[in-house]
Amino acid sequence: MSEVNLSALLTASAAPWRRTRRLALLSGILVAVATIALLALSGWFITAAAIAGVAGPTAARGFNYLVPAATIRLLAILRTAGRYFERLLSHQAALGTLASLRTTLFARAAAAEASGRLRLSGGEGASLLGRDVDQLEDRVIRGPQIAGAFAGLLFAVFLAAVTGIIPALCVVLCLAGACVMTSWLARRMLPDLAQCEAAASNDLKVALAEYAAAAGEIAVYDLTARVSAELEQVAARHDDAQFRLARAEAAIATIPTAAAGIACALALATAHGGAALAAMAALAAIAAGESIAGYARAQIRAPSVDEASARLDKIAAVGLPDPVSASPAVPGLTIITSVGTHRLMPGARVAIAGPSGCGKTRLLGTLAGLRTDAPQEIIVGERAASEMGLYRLRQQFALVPQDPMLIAGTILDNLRLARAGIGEDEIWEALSTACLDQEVRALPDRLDQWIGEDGAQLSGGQRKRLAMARGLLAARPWLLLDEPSEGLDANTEAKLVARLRDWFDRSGQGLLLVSHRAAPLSLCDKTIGLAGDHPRK
Amino acid sequence: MTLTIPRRGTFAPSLWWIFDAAAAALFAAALALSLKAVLAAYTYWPVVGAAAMIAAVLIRSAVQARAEVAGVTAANRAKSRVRAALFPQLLHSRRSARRLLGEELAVAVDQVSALTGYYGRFEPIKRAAAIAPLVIAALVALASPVSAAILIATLIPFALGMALAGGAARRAADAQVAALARLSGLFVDRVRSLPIILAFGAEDRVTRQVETATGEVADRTYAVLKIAFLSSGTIEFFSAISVALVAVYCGFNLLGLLPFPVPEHLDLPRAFFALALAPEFYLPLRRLAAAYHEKQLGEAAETAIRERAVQAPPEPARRVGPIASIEIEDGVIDYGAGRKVGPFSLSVASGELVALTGPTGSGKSSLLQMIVGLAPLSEGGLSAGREAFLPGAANAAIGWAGQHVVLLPGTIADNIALADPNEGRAAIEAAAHRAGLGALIATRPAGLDTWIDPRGSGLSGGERRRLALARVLLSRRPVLLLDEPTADLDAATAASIITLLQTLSRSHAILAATHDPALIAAATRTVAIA
Repeated sequence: MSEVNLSALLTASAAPWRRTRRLALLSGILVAVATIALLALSGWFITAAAIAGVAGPTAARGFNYLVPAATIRLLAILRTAGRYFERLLSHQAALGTLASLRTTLFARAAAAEASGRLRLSGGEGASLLGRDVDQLEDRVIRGPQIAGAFAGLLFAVFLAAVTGIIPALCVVLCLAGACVMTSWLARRMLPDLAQCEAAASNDLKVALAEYAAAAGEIAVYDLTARVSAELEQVAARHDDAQFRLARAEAAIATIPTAAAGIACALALATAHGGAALAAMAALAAIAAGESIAGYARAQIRAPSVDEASARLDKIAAVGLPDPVSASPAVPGLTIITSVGTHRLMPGARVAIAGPSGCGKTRLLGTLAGLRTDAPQEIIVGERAASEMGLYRLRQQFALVPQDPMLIAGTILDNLRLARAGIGEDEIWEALSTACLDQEVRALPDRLDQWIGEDGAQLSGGQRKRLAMARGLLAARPWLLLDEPSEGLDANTEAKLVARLRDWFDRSGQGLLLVSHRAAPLSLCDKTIGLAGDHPRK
Repeated sequence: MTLTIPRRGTFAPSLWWIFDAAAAALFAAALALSLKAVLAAYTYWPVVGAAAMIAAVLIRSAVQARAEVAGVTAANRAKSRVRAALFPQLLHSRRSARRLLGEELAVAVDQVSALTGYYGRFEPIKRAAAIAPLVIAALVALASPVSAAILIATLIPFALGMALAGGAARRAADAQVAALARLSGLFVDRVRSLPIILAFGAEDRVTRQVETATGEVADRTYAVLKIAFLSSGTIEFFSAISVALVAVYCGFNLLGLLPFPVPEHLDLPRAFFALALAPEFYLPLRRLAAAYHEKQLGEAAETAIRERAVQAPPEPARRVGPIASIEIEDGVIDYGAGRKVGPFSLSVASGELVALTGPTGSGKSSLLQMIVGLAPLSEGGLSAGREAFLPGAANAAIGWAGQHVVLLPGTIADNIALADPNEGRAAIEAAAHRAGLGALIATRPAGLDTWIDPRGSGLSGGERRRLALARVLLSRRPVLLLDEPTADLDAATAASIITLLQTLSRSHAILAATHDPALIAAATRTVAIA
């Protein structure tokens, strides 16, 4: 396994966008310089014009007004164009970088999930991962902002230096001080407050989930008003945590404004070389506040970006697995329960029976390689299933889970999960066996029909049969069916069982079936009884 | 019942944003007068001027911070009203699982949080953006009416530019919105679906699909941004050009070289005041553009909250009188989208403890929830004796005890009394003892007055179940619905609960959904649902 960290992945993903980022950086610098120059030159121009105007018509006519006036207009246009391209280019680089990073992270997330070291699947984990990657956009975009802040700072200091060393010192102390202070305060105050906010948000979720689980009690004793009032108390604590975080952020965000204003006042008061230059230095300092504000915004977001990066670092560190060689032989199975030992030859069709909670679903999940907590001892060929690992087990077993586990996309997207290089004939054959072909033909887009997240646009029975077709298409030596006919009416169930029997006769695949209904059990010629009393650990 | 999202009462933060414009004018005035002092080469006045400028900018910083904070306060008040409408609906929603789904929790917590930026920042800034530029123009007019007129005149081409750029941006976004929604959800969906992808060895194929999709999202988003940034570019352009125009006008006016007659003759402080305020004219609009993201998030959150609120159940029909038994004939629960439970038929009468069994997911809990109106009965009917009643209509005669017990902050006695607030202390004590809480009461110094904190209550699982049973006893309700009453309890505690249920069943009609073989063995009858 190759171990890397997130920064390395990010650098690799960002590599093709180097030119774009560099242009964005230059645009950021251009914006900062143009903004400061526009205001500074305007200030100098007005003051110098006032002095010349007071000195009399001759002085006024001798004053070169054309160059400053034209430059002012040019700077206004440069600033606008610079801002547009800074934003566009930095977003282009960020979008491209993150697109490629998402792909890299997905491959690693798959490896992490397979290794069992990180559990990323499921709603909360997946959305968190999605949000974390989004947060990284700031990490890419803040480059031009930081460059702009430093360019603005240097330029403002340079213009102040024209009027003397003391104004320059005042400006550099105020502006650099503001940068240091925002960065220091953001890192010192915000992480704790953000953590409090997250904890309060979680408290509210836990409280809501707990009360919702007791909805029956709430309904019969008419407790809705009282429980809602209690939930509001918990929610108010969350609001309060949010408020404290927002207050700290607002306080930090005002530092650049204040610092630029103070720098402006000090520069004006200490400048030498006349009122026109003093006006220039003062307005340069105030305009630099805008560049520093961009820097401050990046600093305020930095703690949450860092936190997201730290979480993604764990995924990046998992590395990619070494390829597993294909094993051509079809193994037999040995299942040792507390009652007895069962040896199953390839092609056997076996029902797994036993009371609820005895570990039927866990047995199938363990064979599929998705879990290792089957209470029985399972030997595949010569090796224990729990030691073979997902990569070897999945060459032998195809799972049709109780919950169909469909992906967002089209019917075809779901079927193509099963195996690479599936032909259209095979697809219709599998759909027909799963008793779904006619319904798919009736859909407006047929195989390309969008079925929503987890098959939300399909009925429960359709989702189940789509998962069945997917399992059949996988063409693995063993098929694992978990409650395949649950939610089907008796007619469809009978048809499904008959077509499955044909399928197994043709394919010679082995079958392990968990079902509490009679019809599918008729597919099997042997039953393994599991005893109860294997509580989940 | 639909959810109305309140919008009033958020004017305070807008006012603070308008004050910010006034504070900017204060600073500009101090700056202009300081410059006059510098020009006149006074000794002390520039120092006084600098002090005034520093005071003004500190006031301005405080006003800005206050505006942000006032926004959050106002948003929190609005959120509290949204929750007051949303939470009761969540507690009553008819859902197939007993627990709230992650998605529902996200709506109730994360989406409501996302309203903060919308109500607290975007809306106040939007209101202020309609007024603050005019305040700036009016203040500029005090020093130089022509400069103010120049600023206002830029609004006309600005509005035209915004209409063009904004319209184009909307068309570009609309053209992409469906494709973007599908594609951008793909990454999260594929991570969510990792187990099944791994089980079929499809990770390489899906990784390539993710690559194509994320690449396409990037391209399409870029296409939208190219045009969307034109709007903010328009604001930037007019912001910069208005400064340039005021600067050039003031300079020429001061030089006395204007090629056309104007009704004003400026001096340096007035010209400088106008110049220093010129960038402030478009600042509220630039702020508004920067807060646009909060608007998008907030609108998405409002939509999600409304969608959730629509799924509220109808109020239960007229309540039936006291019942002592329940019969269900050919009942079917239909959650829609093909998720059905049933048909099932069962009856439970006084003197019976009926165990409801069936595999996980077969709908045992759904059946109990249906009786109290928390799951939709689509076929068949409920009756008591001969009298038919609608789900939820007999709740006043039903006691409930489940795996999860409602605990509210208060004493143990307060919590038992939730079942019937009119009962006296003696009745509560009797119910507690009958339910087997005697040992608990005896070991706590405050006894029944021991304070319970709902989270980390200090009550064991068994004690919580007993508390629920004490409620049932206090309420004197004849029909008792139990959802996994012995799950997650150790054998001894489970056995004592079962004994208590057997005693209760002599005087009650008890229906218990359970997996527990001991409880099934103790039941008078078993009904299996498949």
